[in-house]
Amino acid sequence: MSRTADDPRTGRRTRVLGWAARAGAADYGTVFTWKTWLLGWFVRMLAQVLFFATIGNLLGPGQARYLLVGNAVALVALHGVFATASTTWELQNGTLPLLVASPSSPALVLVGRSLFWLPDGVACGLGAVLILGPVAGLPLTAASVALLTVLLVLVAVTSYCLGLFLGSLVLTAVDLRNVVSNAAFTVMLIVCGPEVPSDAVGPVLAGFGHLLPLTHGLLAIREVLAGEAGAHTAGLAGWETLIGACWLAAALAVLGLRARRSRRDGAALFLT
Amino acid sequence: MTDSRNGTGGLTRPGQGEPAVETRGLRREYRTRRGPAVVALDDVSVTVEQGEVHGLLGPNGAGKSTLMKILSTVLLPTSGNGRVLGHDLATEHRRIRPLLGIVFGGERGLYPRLTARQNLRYWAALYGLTTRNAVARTDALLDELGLAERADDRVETFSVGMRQRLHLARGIIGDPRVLLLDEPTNGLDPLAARQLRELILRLAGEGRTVLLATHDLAEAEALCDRVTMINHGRVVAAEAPRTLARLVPRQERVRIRAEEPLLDLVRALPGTLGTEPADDGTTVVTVDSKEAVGRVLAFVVERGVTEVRTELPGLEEVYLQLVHRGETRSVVNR
Amino acid sequence: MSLLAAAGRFQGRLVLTHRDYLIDLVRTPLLAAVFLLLIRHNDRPDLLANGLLAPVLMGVWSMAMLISGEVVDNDRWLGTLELQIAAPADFARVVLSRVWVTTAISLLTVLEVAAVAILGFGTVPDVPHPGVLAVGLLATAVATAGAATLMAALFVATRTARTFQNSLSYPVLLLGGVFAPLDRLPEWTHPIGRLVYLSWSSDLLRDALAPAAVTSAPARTGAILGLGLLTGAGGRLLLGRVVRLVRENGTVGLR
Repeated sequence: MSRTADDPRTGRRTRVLGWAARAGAADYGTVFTWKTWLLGWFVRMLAQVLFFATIGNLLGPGQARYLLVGNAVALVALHGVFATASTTWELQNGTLPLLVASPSSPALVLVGRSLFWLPDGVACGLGAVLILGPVAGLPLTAASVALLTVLLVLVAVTSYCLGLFLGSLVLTAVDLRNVVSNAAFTVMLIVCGPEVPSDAVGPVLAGFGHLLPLTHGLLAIREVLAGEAGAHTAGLAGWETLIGACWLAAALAVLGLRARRSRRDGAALFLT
Repeated sequence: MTDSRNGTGGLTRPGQGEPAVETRGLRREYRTRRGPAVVALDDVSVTVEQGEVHGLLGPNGAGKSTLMKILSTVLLPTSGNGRVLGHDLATEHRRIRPLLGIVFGGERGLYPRLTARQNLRYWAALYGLTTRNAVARTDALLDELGLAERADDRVETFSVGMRQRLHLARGIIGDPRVLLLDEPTNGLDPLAARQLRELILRLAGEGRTVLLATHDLAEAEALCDRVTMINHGRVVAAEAPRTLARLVPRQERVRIRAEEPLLDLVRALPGTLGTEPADDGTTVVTVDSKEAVGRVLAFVVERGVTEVRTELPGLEEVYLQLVHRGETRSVVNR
Repeated sequence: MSLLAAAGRFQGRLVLTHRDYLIDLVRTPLLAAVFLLLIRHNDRPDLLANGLLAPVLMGVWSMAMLISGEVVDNDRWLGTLELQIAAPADFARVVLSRVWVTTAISLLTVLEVAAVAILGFGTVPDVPHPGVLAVGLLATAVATAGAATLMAALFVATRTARTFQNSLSYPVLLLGGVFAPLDRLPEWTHPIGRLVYLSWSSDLLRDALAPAAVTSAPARTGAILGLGLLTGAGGRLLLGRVVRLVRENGTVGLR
């Protein structure tokens, strides 16, 4: 912490990120109180996991547990992908031209702007496993829960990077933001392994799934919950991190490109 | 520890003689999906000296906002070039940005769910202030702009006037040398607008250069050292408000307090173009020449009228005249 | 009748121009793929009817909830809500007409799901009881319009309706037994689940796709329609109350 504060540029970036996160959290705070979050949002998320778990129960032995874990972790990814929609909130505030004209990068602000989804997502995913896991006979130990938490945070962050990328694509098409994030999430349900292992979707879709966040993180979590955490798990976590970093880089590249292009062609982006 | 912004600005910091803003032959086209490109600015050359309060005057859609966006580095000109404090607008935008403060009118551009203080701290971070400097500067600005009492209330609870003052505070959080104000009093009631104008004058008094885009003539007349009038993307005139008035030479005005039979006689004098009652009970007589002014003055004083004043036409008439003939005749005479 | 047509045309245009309203038409085929994959992977062709009907019912329900809420919310935001309420036409009928068109559009999901099954999975769905299926779908559409009217009324009445709109999706789908029938849930949920018209719809529609004869179809259709009309009437009553309040207080929102 003290090392970063010594470098003025890093310190400045941290401050911008921190304030952008606070601005996002303030917007989020008007949507939920802790009561409406717990009784509305959280219950809805639990119901989603339970919905798929009951399907598993119908499908055959072991499937309830498989779908419970898969869909609980997918919830975390869903929250990350929500960044697609909240990235466009900046446009509605009319602050984008001012951000571009400031000496700091608007991309940095957009990265910080939707961070509030991460704790929400991790809480929903972890809550679903802790509350519904015992019902499906999922063995949990203190160690596995600790590792699970770390991996859920990782999946939240990597999915967030994908959400930022999609958000940067639809930044000006405000009416598409929910379509894009929902479609992306449902595609992830198909190819990233929450419902069926990736070899069940054919080599092309499975290959695509391996380029997306969630896939490796979910495999790592399944290993942890099966009591098989080891070097292979760490390798999977490494892949998950790398893929998230790539999506973040792609998001920053698109944002930079759009900022440069809008300066040239006066696209609606910064002229509202 | 010094502010990092000074490190980058130090070497290229231009001399005092350099204009704050200078554009040459700026042109900006917007491509439309179908049909020809729309020309928003055409051959615009503007010079704003350091420390000047310069008005950018024109009707809605004249190109003021496009020029403001180019100067604030969020939009590139299609052709032509410009410099802010000696830095090129197209290539040196990173040098320019820390030197500029930008205030747009209207409701947008603040985070409604954050408090006034949080908004300012946020923008302080964006302008690279260290936490300690940001705290001090935020407190000082909240105080100076009369927002200290409501500093910790959410902006969504603010009146339009308070928001606009906060916008101004946000614009100068980075202590800019050039302040771009785009219709800052838009939507304000007359009292709030007057308060804001006083603030702008005070900021200008601190040695900042102010470029003020407005369609409000009284505002330009009250605040600006010089004004540039634009219409349909072209510069129609650039002068001090009083000098501009002289560009409309044929009309002179005499304001008198007189009653009807006398006014009828005044209307009959050679050279009198018309009379118009004003709100304060006086009557404005419009005449076509200096000689006609003399004739009217002599006539009414002789008949015992004591309240007599000659006036130059206001910016409003100049504006209407210039804007209406702007397409055919350009009167830039610099 | 002309009001119904005009409001309906308006809503149709709105749904087609604001692309976010098409969210369920985009999501439904993808969800169908999820369910059909689950069935194929677990080798349970006997659950095909569940897999085909679940995405349809999810799409119909979610689109009705989204639009009934969004339309009111957008109108509130644009300031047109008061104008609509103040217009001489009966506001409840305006709402109902707009909800109707949306529900009709959402029935397109039936075609989408069939296309995914046939083109994506090479499965041609067998419909042993087409009459029951058609009547069941129609009854479901009516009941959905009723639920959407209640939802729209809640949205007009309170500004916090968005929170329940978000929360109503999966809990209702779970209790409505859209994939796993209500019988699979614990006993104590059954009385609540039977109040959700979707639980009757999903049972009846699944039976329509099963070879065995459908028992007491008229009574079950009646249950769907009855529940739907009951919620619709509740919504109508609430709307009437809200409109009265608006005229008295001049603001939209009970609080």
